[in-house]
Amino acid sequence: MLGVTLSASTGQPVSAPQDAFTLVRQALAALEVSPPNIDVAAERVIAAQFARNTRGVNIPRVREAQQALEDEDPAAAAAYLMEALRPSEAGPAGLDRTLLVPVVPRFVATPSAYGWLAAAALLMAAGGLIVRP
Amino acid sequence: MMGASRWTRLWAAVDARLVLRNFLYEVPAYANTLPYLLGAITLAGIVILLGTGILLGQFYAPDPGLANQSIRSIMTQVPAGEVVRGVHVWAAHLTVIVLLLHVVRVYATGAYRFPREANWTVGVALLATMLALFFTGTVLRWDQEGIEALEHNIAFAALLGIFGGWFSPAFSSHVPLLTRLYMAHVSLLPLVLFILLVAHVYLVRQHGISARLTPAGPEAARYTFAQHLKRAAGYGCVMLGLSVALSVLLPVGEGPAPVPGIEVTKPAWLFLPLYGLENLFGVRGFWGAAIFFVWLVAVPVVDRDRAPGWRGRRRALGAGAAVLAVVIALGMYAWLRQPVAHLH
Repeated sequence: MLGVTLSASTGQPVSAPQDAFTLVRQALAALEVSPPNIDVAAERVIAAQFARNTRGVNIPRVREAQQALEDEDPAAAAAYLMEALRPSEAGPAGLDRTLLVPVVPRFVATPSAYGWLAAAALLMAAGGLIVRP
Repeated sequence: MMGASRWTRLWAAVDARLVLRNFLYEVPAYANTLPYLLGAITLAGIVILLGTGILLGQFYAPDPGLANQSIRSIMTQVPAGEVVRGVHVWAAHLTVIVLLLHVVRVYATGAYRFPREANWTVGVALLATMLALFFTGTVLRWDQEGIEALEHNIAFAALLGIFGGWFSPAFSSHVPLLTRLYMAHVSLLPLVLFILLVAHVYLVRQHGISARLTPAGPEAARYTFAQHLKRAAGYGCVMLGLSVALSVLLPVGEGPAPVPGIEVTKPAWLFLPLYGLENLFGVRGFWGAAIFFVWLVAVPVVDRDRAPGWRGRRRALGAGAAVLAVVIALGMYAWLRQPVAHLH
Protein backbone atom coordinates (compact mmCIF):
# COMPACT_ATOMS: atom_id res chain seq x y z
CA MET A 1 0.00 0.00 0.00
CA LEU A 2 1.41 3.35 -1.00
CA GLY A 3 -0.07 5.81 1.45
CA VAL A 4 0.40 9.31 0.11
CA THR A 5 -1.02 12.41 1.70
CA LEU A 6 -0.46 15.94 0.52
CA SER A 7 -0.95 19.25 2.18
CA ALA A 8 -3.68 21.06 0.26
CA SER A 9 -2.06 24.39 1.03
CA THR A 10 1.53 23.53 0.14
CA GLY A 11 1.05 20.50 -2.10
CA GLN A 12 3.80 18.66 -0.22
CA PRO A 13 3.49 15.31 1.61
CA VAL A 14 2.38 15.37 5.22
CA SER A 15 1.75 12.68 7.81
CA ALA A 16 -1.75 11.18 8.03
CA PRO A 17 -4.19 13.82 9.35
CA GLN A 18 -5.34 13.45 12.94
CA ASP A 19 -6.84 16.89 13.47
CA ALA A 20 -10.59 17.29 13.54
CA PHE A 21 -10.51 20.14 11.05
CA THR A 22 -9.04 17.98 8.29
CA LEU A 23 -11.29 15.06 9.18
CA VAL A 24 -14.39 17.25 8.96
CA ARG A 25 -13.23 18.56 5.60
CA GLN A 26 -12.72 14.99 4.43
CA ALA A 27 -16.23 14.14 5.54
CA LEU A 28 -17.53 17.14 3.60
CA ALA A 29 -15.60 16.03 0.50
CA ALA A 30 -17.18 12.58 0.80
CA LEU A 31 -20.63 14.17 0.92
CA GLU A 32 -20.05 16.47 -2.05
CA VAL A 33 -19.57 13.69 -4.59
CA SER A 34 -22.50 12.19 -6.42
CA PRO A 35 -23.84 9.97 -4.94
CA PRO A 36 -22.63 11.02 -1.47
CA ASN A 37 -20.30 8.51 0.17
CA ILE A 38 -22.04 8.27 3.55
CA ASP A 39 -19.85 5.45 4.90
CA VAL A 40 -16.62 7.38 4.44
CA ALA A 41 -18.22 10.57 5.77
CA ALA A 42 -19.51 8.79 8.90
CA GLU A 43 -16.09 7.26 9.53
CA ARG A 44 -14.42 10.69 9.34
CA VAL A 45 -17.10 12.37 11.46
CA ILE A 46 -16.63 9.82 14.25
CA ALA A 47 -12.84 10.13 14.04
CA ALA A 48 -13.15 13.94 14.23
CA GLN A 49 -14.97 13.71 17.56
CA PHE A 50 -12.13 11.67 19.04
CA ALA A 51 -9.31 13.71 17.51
CA ARG A 52 -6.75 15.17 19.91
CA ASN A 53 -6.63 18.46 18.04
CA THR A 54 -10.13 19.93 17.64
CA ARG A 55 -9.02 23.50 17.03
CA GLY A 56 -11.27 25.35 14.60
CA VAL A 57 -14.10 22.80 14.86
CA ASN A 58 -17.43 23.06 16.64
CA ILE A 59 -17.72 19.50 17.96
CA PRO A 60 -21.45 19.70 18.95
CA ARG A 61 -22.21 20.53 15.30
CA VAL A 62 -20.17 17.48 14.25
CA ARG A 63 -22.34 15.34 16.55
CA GLU A 64 -25.43 16.75 14.82
CA ALA A 65 -23.85 15.87 11.49
CA GLN A 66 -23.32 12.33 12.73
CA GLN A 67 -26.98 12.13 13.70
CA ALA A 68 -27.98 13.39 10.24
CA LEU A 69 -25.80 10.74 8.65
CA GLU A 70 -27.43 8.08 10.79
CA ASP A 71 -30.76 9.40 9.51
CA GLU A 72 -29.31 9.08 5.98
CA ASP A 73 -29.68 12.79 5.30
CA PRO A 74 -26.38 13.75 3.62
CA ALA A 75 -27.53 17.29 2.73
CA ALA A 76 -28.29 18.11 6.38
CA ALA A 77 -25.04 16.46 7.47
CA ALA A 78 -23.06 18.59 5.00
CA ALA A 79 -24.80 21.73 6.31
CA TYR A 80 -23.90 20.84 9.92
CA LEU A 81 -20.32 20.12 8.93
CA MET A 82 -20.05 23.49 7.19
CA GLU A 83 -21.29 25.13 10.38
CA ALA A 84 -18.85 23.02 12.40
CA LEU A 85 -15.91 24.68 10.66
CA ARG A 86 -15.66 27.83 12.71
CA PRO A 87 -14.70 30.83 10.61
CA SER A 88 -11.94 33.32 11.42
CA GLU A 89 -10.30 31.26 14.14
CA ALA A 90 -6.56 30.90 14.30
CA GLY A 91 -4.87 27.92 12.74
CA PRO A 92 -6.18 25.72 9.96
CA ALA A 93 -9.67 27.19 10.25
CA GLY A 94 -8.33 30.20 8.37
CA LEU A 95 -9.63 28.63 5.15
CA ASP A 96 -12.17 30.66 3.21
CA ARG A 97 -15.42 28.69 3.68
CA THR A 98 -16.77 29.85 0.33
CA LEU A 99 -14.12 27.60 -1.22
CA LEU A 100 -15.77 24.58 0.39
CA VAL A 101 -18.88 25.02 -1.71
CA PRO A 102 -18.70 23.68 -5.27
CA VAL A 103 -19.44 26.00 -8.17
CA VAL A 104 -22.06 24.28 -10.30
CA PRO A 105 -23.03 26.66 -13.09
CA ARG A 106 -26.07 25.93 -15.21
CA PHE A 107 -27.30 27.32 -18.50
CA VAL A 108 -29.06 30.61 -17.92
CA ALA A 109 -30.98 32.16 -20.80
CA THR A 110 -29.35 35.59 -20.87
CA PRO A 111 -28.62 37.82 -23.90
CA SER A 112 -24.94 37.05 -23.42
CA ALA A 113 -25.60 33.28 -23.48
CA TYR A 114 -27.64 33.63 -26.68
CA GLY A 115 -24.86 35.76 -28.16
CA TRP A 116 -22.35 33.00 -27.50
CA LEU A 117 -24.71 30.40 -28.94
CA ALA A 118 -25.19 32.52 -32.06
CA ALA A 119 -21.40 32.79 -32.41
CA ALA A 120 -21.14 29.02 -32.01
CA ALA A 121 -23.78 28.47 -34.70
CA LEU A 122 -21.96 30.87 -37.04
CA LEU A 123 -18.68 29.06 -36.48
CA MET A 124 -20.25 25.69 -37.20
CA ALA A 125 -21.99 27.04 -40.29
CA ALA A 126 -18.75 28.60 -41.54
CA GLY A 127 -16.96 25.32 -40.88
CA GLY A 128 -19.65 23.44 -42.77
CA LEU A 129 -19.25 25.79 -45.76
CA ILE A 130 -15.46 25.40 -45.75
CA VAL A 131 -15.69 21.62 -45.49
CA ARG A 132 -18.13 21.39 -48.40
CA PRO A 133 -16.26 19.96 -51.43
CA MET B 1 -10.05 41.31 -65.21
CA MET B 2 -7.88 43.95 -63.63
CA GLY B 3 -8.89 42.61 -60.23
CA ALA B 4 -7.90 39.08 -61.14
CA SER B 5 -4.54 40.18 -62.46
CA ARG B 6 -3.96 42.21 -59.29
CA TRP B 7 -4.65 39.08 -57.19
CA THR B 8 -2.36 37.07 -59.45
CA ARG B 9 0.43 39.60 -59.01
CA LEU B 10 -0.14 39.68 -55.23
CA TRP B 11 -0.08 35.86 -55.06
CA ALA B 12 3.12 35.79 -57.15
CA ALA B 13 4.75 38.35 -54.85
CA VAL B 14 3.81 36.47 -51.69
CA ASP B 15 4.68 33.09 -53.21
CA ALA B 16 8.10 34.34 -54.32
CA ARG B 17 8.90 35.07 -50.68
CA LEU B 18 7.07 32.30 -48.78
CA VAL B 19 7.18 29.54 -51.45
CA LEU B 20 3.57 28.66 -50.71
CA ARG B 21 3.29 26.71 -53.99
CA ASN B 22 4.98 23.87 -52.08
CA PHE B 23 1.64 23.34 -50.34
CA LEU B 24 -0.07 22.75 -53.67
CA TYR B 25 1.24 19.25 -54.19
CA GLU B 26 -1.37 16.71 -55.08
CA VAL B 27 -2.91 14.36 -52.52
CA PRO B 28 -5.21 11.41 -53.25
CA ALA B 29 -8.93 12.14 -53.25
CA TYR B 30 -9.57 9.77 -50.30
CA ALA B 31 -7.17 11.88 -48.19
CA ASN B 32 -9.87 14.52 -48.16
CA THR B 33 -12.43 12.23 -46.56
CA LEU B 34 -13.19 12.49 -42.83
CA PRO B 35 -11.34 9.32 -41.70
CA TYR B 36 -8.13 10.61 -43.29
CA LEU B 37 -8.63 14.13 -41.92
CA LEU B 38 -8.79 13.09 -38.26
CA GLY B 39 -5.09 13.77 -37.65
CA ALA B 40 -5.35 17.27 -39.11
CA ILE B 41 -8.53 17.93 -37.09
CA THR B 42 -6.63 16.91 -33.96
CA LEU B 43 -4.07 19.55 -34.88
CA ALA B 44 -6.88 22.11 -35.21
CA GLY B 45 -8.06 21.09 -31.72
CA ILE B 46 -4.55 21.61 -30.37
CA VAL B 47 -4.55 25.13 -31.84
CA ILE B 48 -7.84 25.87 -30.00
CA LEU B 49 -6.37 24.49 -26.76
CA LEU B 50 -3.24 26.58 -27.20
CA GLY B 51 -5.22 29.78 -27.73
CA THR B 52 -7.61 29.28 -24.82
CA GLY B 53 -4.76 27.98 -22.64
CA ILE B 54 -2.76 31.17 -23.18
CA LEU B 55 -5.81 33.22 -22.12
CA LEU B 56 -6.40 31.10 -19.01
CA GLY B 57 -2.71 31.24 -18.10
CA GLN B 58 -3.03 35.00 -17.56
CA PHE B 59 -5.40 34.47 -14.64
CA TYR B 60 -4.53 31.07 -13.17
CA ALA B 61 -2.40 30.98 -10.00
CA PRO B 62 -0.42 27.70 -9.93
CA ASP B 63 -0.04 27.69 -6.16
CA PRO B 64 -1.83 25.11 -3.98
CA GLY B 65 -3.16 27.87 -1.70
CA LEU B 66 -4.53 29.97 -4.56
CA ALA B 67 -5.32 27.68 -7.50
CA ASN B 68 -8.93 26.81 -6.63
CA GLN B 69 -9.74 30.44 -5.85
CA SER B 70 -8.12 31.63 -9.08
CA ILE B 71 -10.32 29.28 -11.13
CA ARG B 72 -13.40 30.64 -9.36
CA SER B 73 -12.17 34.14 -10.18
CA ILE B 74 -11.72 33.18 -13.84
CA MET B 75 -15.33 31.99 -13.86
CA THR B 76 -16.85 34.96 -12.08
CA GLN B 77 -14.62 38.00 -12.53
CA VAL B 78 -12.74 37.64 -15.82
CA PRO B 79 -14.81 38.81 -18.83
CA ALA B 80 -15.81 35.71 -20.83
CA GLY B 81 -13.62 33.69 -18.49
CA GLU B 82 -16.25 31.02 -17.88
CA VAL B 83 -16.75 30.49 -21.61
CA VAL B 84 -13.01 30.46 -22.38
CA ARG B 85 -12.43 27.89 -19.64
CA GLY B 86 -15.40 25.86 -20.89
CA VAL B 87 -14.05 25.93 -24.45
CA HIS B 88 -10.64 24.79 -23.16
CA VAL B 89 -12.16 21.86 -21.27
CA TRP B 90 -14.64 20.78 -23.94
CA ALA B 91 -12.09 21.18 -26.75
CA ALA B 92 -9.71 18.97 -24.73
CA HIS B 93 -12.35 16.23 -24.57
CA LEU B 94 -13.23 16.59 -28.28
CA THR B 95 -9.58 16.67 -29.35
CA VAL B 96 -8.78 13.49 -27.45
CA ILE B 97 -11.84 11.79 -28.97
CA VAL B 98 -10.74 12.78 -32.49
CA LEU B 99 -7.17 11.70 -31.70
CA LEU B 100 -8.33 8.27 -30.51
CA LEU B 101 -10.44 7.88 -33.68
CA HIS B 102 -7.34 8.81 -35.69
CA VAL B 103 -5.35 6.08 -33.91
CA VAL B 104 -8.13 3.56 -34.59
CA ARG B 105 -8.22 4.55 -38.29
CA VAL B 106 -4.44 4.25 -38.66
CA TYR B 107 -4.45 0.90 -36.86
CA ALA B 108 -7.43 -0.49 -38.77
CA THR B 109 -5.97 0.39 -42.18
CA GLY B 110 -2.51 -0.87 -41.24
CA ALA B 111 -0.97 2.52 -41.98
CA TYR B 112 1.81 1.74 -39.48
CA ARG B 113 3.37 -0.86 -41.78
CA PHE B 114 6.57 -0.41 -43.76
CA PRO B 115 7.86 2.24 -44.29
CA ARG B 116 5.80 4.10 -41.65
CA GLU B 117 6.85 2.24 -38.48
CA ALA B 118 8.84 5.21 -37.17
CA ASN B 119 5.95 7.58 -37.72
CA TRP B 120 3.61 5.21 -35.87
CA THR B 121 6.03 5.31 -32.92
CA VAL B 122 6.08 9.10 -33.04
CA GLY B 123 2.26 8.99 -33.11
CA VAL B 124 2.18 6.78 -30.00
CA ALA B 125 4.47 9.28 -28.26
CA LEU B 126 2.08 12.05 -29.34
CA LEU B 127 -0.83 10.12 -27.85
CA ALA B 128 1.06 9.71 -24.56
CA THR B 129 1.90 13.43 -24.54
CA MET B 130 -1.72 14.39 -25.13
CA LEU B 131 -2.82 12.12 -22.28
CA ALA B 132 -0.18 13.71 -20.05
CA LEU B 133 -1.52 17.14 -20.99
CA PHE B 134 -5.05 16.01 -20.15
CA PHE B 135 -3.87 14.55 -16.83
CA THR B 136 -1.91 17.64 -15.77
CA GLY B 137 -4.91 19.77 -16.76
CA THR B 138 -7.05 17.71 -14.39
CA VAL B 139 -4.59 18.32 -11.55
CA LEU B 140 -4.55 22.07 -12.24
CA ARG B 141 -8.27 22.29 -11.40
CA TRP B 142 -7.13 21.76 -7.81
CA ASP B 143 -10.44 20.44 -6.58
CA GLN B 144 -10.93 17.03 -4.98
CA GLU B 145 -10.48 15.19 -8.28
CA GLY B 146 -7.35 17.26 -8.93
CA ILE B 147 -5.64 16.45 -5.65
CA GLU B 148 -6.54 12.79 -5.91
CA ALA B 149 -5.03 12.73 -9.42
CA LEU B 150 -1.90 14.31 -7.97
CA GLU B 151 -1.71 11.71 -5.22
CA HIS B 152 -1.93 8.99 -7.87
CA ASN B 153 0.82 10.78 -9.77
CA ILE B 154 3.03 10.51 -6.70
CA ALA B 155 2.14 6.85 -6.14
CA PHE B 156 2.96 6.01 -9.77
CA ALA B 157 6.24 7.91 -9.42
CA ALA B 158 7.11 5.73 -6.43
CA LEU B 159 6.43 2.63 -8.56
CA LEU B 160 8.91 3.87 -11.16
CA GLY B 161 11.70 4.10 -8.60
CA ILE B 162 14.52 6.43 -9.65
CA PHE B 163 12.82 7.01 -13.02
CA GLY B 164 9.87 8.56 -11.22
CA GLY B 165 12.01 11.09 -9.40
CA TRP B 166 10.83 14.14 -11.34
CA PHE B 167 7.19 13.28 -10.65
CA SER B 168 7.62 13.13 -6.87
CA PRO B 169 7.36 16.09 -4.47
CA ALA B 170 10.80 15.24 -3.07
CA PHE B 171 12.43 16.29 -6.36
CA SER B 172 12.10 19.94 -5.37
CA SER B 173 11.20 20.40 -1.73
CA HIS B 174 10.55 24.15 -1.96
CA VAL B 175 8.44 24.18 -5.15
CA PRO B 176 5.02 22.48 -4.87
CA LEU B 177 4.39 19.65 -7.29
CA LEU B 178 1.28 21.49 -8.51
CA THR B 179 3.48 24.37 -9.64
CA ARG B 180 5.85 22.01 -11.42
CA LEU B 181 2.98 20.19 -13.12
CA TYR B 182 1.67 23.59 -14.24
CA MET B 183 5.08 24.26 -15.75
CA ALA B 184 4.88 20.89 -17.49
CA HIS B 185 1.33 21.65 -18.73
CA VAL B 186 2.15 25.03 -20.23
CA SER B 187 5.75 24.65 -21.40
CA LEU B 188 7.44 21.26 -21.16
CA LEU B 189 4.65 19.10 -22.59
CA PRO B 190 3.67 21.61 -25.32
CA LEU B 191 7.34 21.74 -26.34
CA VAL B 192 7.51 17.94 -26.54
CA LEU B 193 4.20 17.97 -28.43
CA PHE B 194 5.53 20.53 -30.91
CA ILE B 195 8.73 18.57 -31.59
CA LEU B 196 6.80 15.33 -32.06
CA LEU B 197 4.23 17.05 -34.29
CA VAL B 198 6.99 18.44 -36.51
CA ALA B 199 8.50 14.94 -36.80
CA HIS B 200 5.04 13.43 -37.46
CA VAL B 201 4.12 15.89 -40.19
CA TYR B 202 7.62 15.67 -41.72
CA LEU B 203 7.33 11.88 -41.98
CA VAL B 204 3.80 12.09 -43.41
CA ARG B 205 5.18 14.47 -46.06
CA GLN B 206 8.11 12.19 -46.83
CA HIS B 207 6.12 8.94 -47.07
CA GLY B 208 2.93 10.46 -48.42
CA ILE B 209 -0.54 9.61 -47.17
CA SER B 210 -0.87 5.86 -46.66
CA ALA B 211 -2.54 3.87 -49.40
CA ARG B 212 -6.09 2.60 -49.06
CA LEU B 213 -6.59 -1.06 -48.35
CA THR B 214 -9.19 -1.47 -51.07
CA PRO B 215 -8.28 -0.56 -54.64
CA ALA B 216 -9.61 2.85 -55.54
CA GLY B 217 -11.85 3.37 -58.52
CA PRO B 218 -11.13 5.97 -61.15
CA GLU B 219 -10.74 9.26 -59.33
CA ALA B 220 -11.98 12.21 -61.30
CA ALA B 221 -11.38 14.80 -58.58
CA ARG B 222 -7.85 15.99 -57.90
CA TYR B 223 -6.95 17.62 -54.62
CA THR B 224 -3.99 19.55 -53.32
CA PHE B 225 -2.57 19.55 -49.82
CA ALA B 226 -3.81 23.14 -49.46
CA GLN B 227 -7.37 21.86 -49.94
CA HIS B 228 -6.68 19.15 -47.36
CA LEU B 229 -5.62 21.86 -44.89
CA LYS B 230 -8.66 23.96 -45.79
CA ARG B 231 -11.04 21.10 -44.97
CA ALA B 232 -9.22 20.45 -41.71
CA ALA B 233 -9.58 24.15 -40.85
CA GLY B 234 -13.31 23.85 -41.63
CA TYR B 235 -13.66 20.95 -39.21
CA GLY B 236 -11.61 22.98 -36.74
CA CYS B 237 -14.24 25.75 -36.99
CA VAL B 238 -16.94 23.16 -36.33
CA MET B 239 -15.01 21.91 -33.29
CA LEU B 240 -14.57 25.43 -31.95
CA GLY B 241 -18.27 26.19 -32.49
CA LEU B 242 -19.24 22.95 -30.77
CA SER B 243 -16.92 23.73 -27.84
CA VAL B 244 -18.44 27.20 -27.45
CA ALA B 245 -21.97 25.79 -27.57
CA LEU B 246 -21.13 23.09 -25.02
CA SER B 247 -19.43 25.58 -22.72
CA VAL B 248 -22.64 27.65 -22.68
CA LEU B 249 -25.19 24.81 -22.54
CA LEU B 250 -23.18 22.55 -20.21
CA PRO B 251 -20.89 24.96 -18.35
CA VAL B 252 -17.88 23.53 -16.58
CA GLY B 253 -17.98 23.85 -12.79
CA GLU B 254 -15.35 23.82 -10.10
CA GLY B 255 -15.27 21.54 -7.08
CA PRO B 256 -14.57 22.59 -3.50
CA ALA B 257 -11.01 23.33 -2.43
CA PRO B 258 -9.34 19.94 -2.07
CA VAL B 259 -8.58 18.07 1.10
CA PRO B 260 -5.85 15.42 1.15
CA GLY B 261 -5.96 11.93 2.56
CA ILE B 262 -9.24 10.75 1.05
CA GLU B 263 -10.34 9.22 -2.26
CA VAL B 264 -13.95 9.86 -3.14
CA THR B 265 -13.82 10.83 -6.83
CA LYS B 266 -13.27 9.01 -10.08
CA PRO B 267 -11.14 10.32 -12.95
CA ALA B 268 -12.33 11.60 -16.34
CA TRP B 269 -13.66 9.01 -18.82
CA LEU B 270 -10.29 8.85 -20.49
CA PHE B 271 -8.59 7.38 -17.43
CA LEU B 272 -11.42 5.08 -16.35
CA PRO B 273 -9.77 1.95 -17.84
CA LEU B 274 -6.66 2.66 -15.75
CA TYR B 275 -8.88 3.30 -12.73
CA GLY B 276 -10.53 -0.07 -13.37
CA LEU B 277 -7.10 -1.71 -13.36
CA GLU B 278 -6.37 0.01 -10.06
CA ASN B 279 -9.63 -1.35 -8.66
CA LEU B 280 -8.41 -4.84 -9.55
CA PHE B 281 -4.69 -4.64 -8.81
CA GLY B 282 -4.20 -1.52 -6.70
CA VAL B 283 -1.60 1.03 -7.75
CA ARG B 284 0.26 -1.73 -9.59
CA GLY B 285 -2.53 -1.50 -12.16
CA PHE B 286 -0.46 1.35 -13.57
CA TRP B 287 1.72 -1.29 -15.22
CA GLY B 288 -1.31 -2.26 -17.28
CA ALA B 289 -1.24 1.18 -18.91
CA ALA B 290 2.51 0.79 -19.48
CA ILE B 291 1.94 -2.61 -21.12
CA PHE B 292 -0.76 -1.06 -23.34
CA PHE B 293 1.70 1.53 -24.64
CA VAL B 294 4.44 -1.08 -25.12
CA TRP B 295 1.93 -3.10 -27.16
CA LEU B 296 1.10 -0.03 -29.26
CA VAL B 297 4.79 0.59 -29.99
CA ALA B 298 5.33 -3.08 -30.79
CA VAL B 299 2.40 -3.32 -33.23
CA PRO B 300 4.45 -2.73 -36.42
CA VAL B 301 7.04 -5.27 -35.26
CA VAL B 302 4.52 -7.93 -34.32
CA ASP B 303 2.25 -7.51 -37.34
CA ARG B 304 4.20 -8.99 -40.26
CA ASP B 305 1.15 -9.78 -42.36
CA ARG B 306 1.63 -8.27 -45.80
CA ALA B 307 -1.34 -9.78 -47.64
CA PRO B 308 -3.19 -7.10 -49.60
CA GLY B 309 -6.58 -5.68 -48.71
CA TRP B 310 -8.66 -6.37 -45.62
CA ARG B 311 -7.68 -10.08 -45.78
CA GLY B 312 -4.21 -9.13 -44.64
CA ARG B 313 -5.65 -7.25 -41.67
CA ARG B 314 -7.72 -10.06 -40.16
CA ARG B 315 -5.32 -11.06 -37.37
CA ALA B 316 -4.33 -7.48 -36.55
CA LEU B 317 -7.96 -6.39 -36.47
CA GLY B 318 -8.82 -9.31 -34.22
CA ALA B 319 -6.03 -8.38 -31.80
CA GLY B 320 -7.02 -4.71 -31.92
CA ALA B 321 -10.68 -5.52 -31.29
CA ALA B 322 -9.69 -7.71 -28.31
CA VAL B 323 -7.58 -4.94 -26.80
CA LEU B 324 -10.33 -2.39 -27.41
CA ALA B 325 -12.89 -4.69 -25.78
CA VAL B 326 -10.69 -5.06 -22.68
CA VAL B 327 -10.16 -1.29 -22.47
CA ILE B 328 -13.89 -0.59 -22.82
CA ALA B 329 -14.77 -3.33 -20.31
CA LEU B 330 -12.32 -1.91 -17.77
CA GLY B 331 -13.73 1.57 -18.33
CA MET B 332 -17.32 0.38 -17.90
CA TYR B 333 -16.37 -1.59 -14.77
CA ALA B 334 -14.79 1.51 -13.24
CA TRP B 335 -17.68 3.73 -14.34
CA LEU B 336 -20.34 1.53 -12.79
CA ARG B 337 -18.56 1.03 -9.47
CA GLN B 338 -18.43 3.42 -6.52
CA PRO B 339 -15.10 5.25 -6.10
CA VAL B 340 -12.54 3.01 -4.44
CA ALA B 341 -9.60 4.09 -2.27
CA HIS B 342 -6.38 2.88 -3.88
CA LEU B 343 -3.87 4.85 -1.84
CA HIS B 344 -5.20 5.39 1.67
